[in-house]
Amino acid sequence: MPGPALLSMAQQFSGLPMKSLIGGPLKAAAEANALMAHTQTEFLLNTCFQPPAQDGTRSPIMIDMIIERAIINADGTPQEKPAQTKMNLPLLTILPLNSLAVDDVSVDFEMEVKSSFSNEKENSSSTEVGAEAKFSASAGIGPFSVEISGSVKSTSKTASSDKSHYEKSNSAKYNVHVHAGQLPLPQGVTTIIDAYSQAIQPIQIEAEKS
Amino acid sequence: MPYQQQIPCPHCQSVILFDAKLFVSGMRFRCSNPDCNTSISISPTSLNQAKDVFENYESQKQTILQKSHSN
Repeated sequence: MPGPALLSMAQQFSGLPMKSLIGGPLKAAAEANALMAHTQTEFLLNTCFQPPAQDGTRSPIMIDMIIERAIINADGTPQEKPAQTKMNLPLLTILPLNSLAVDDVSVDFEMEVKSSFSNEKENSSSTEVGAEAKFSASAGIGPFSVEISGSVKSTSKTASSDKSHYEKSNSAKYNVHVHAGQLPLPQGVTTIIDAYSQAIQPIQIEAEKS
Repeated sequence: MPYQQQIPCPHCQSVILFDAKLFVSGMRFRCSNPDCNTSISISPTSLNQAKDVFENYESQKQTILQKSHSN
């Protein structure tokens, strides 16, 4: 028995906006990265650098640092008061800078198309014929008396069943996972911080006499 | 203790490892060279400024991360 037409798999998938499904999250991640980079740069310029000069250059904001060195006397005993030195260090060098960015985007798309048809037919018939007779007779003399009784039984059964089953279902699951983490600093920023760090020039403000 | 940052020791040029959060709270960190006996700390005159900037930076970092996770 021909059933209903099954779903066309190709037709089911051809209408999917795959470009949007995959490209949409990636585009959003790229925009998020640009926003984060811009925000971080703006923050660093505003908090770790002086306002721009007339020529547009910016100077780093310096903080005072104290360097202490223990002094050992000639007899091997340490002096109570260590030598103290003051130096300036760019504020930028003590911030735990890391580029924040979307470092992982995964798009999971799962679609299931189900189509099934089943037909089940069952016919059964049964016929039962039975006869049952019962006889009894009695006769009398004098006034006539005759009694006759009997019975007949007949049974017939017919059963028929026809089952058909048709099922179709579409299900789709779309997961987009975006994770933002810390990336290593760009080489340019690392070079700037290294240059500042290497240019540390301590200025002694209190000399110990030994 | 996870020291994530380092600066060169002004005395021996070895590495001084430090944790920025503890650093801006006034903690002193020693040079990794055991013969150097040098330690550094932020001067009390700059402590508040450094602490404010650090806290702002951390706060902004968390905000950015939360926004990116909620998208």
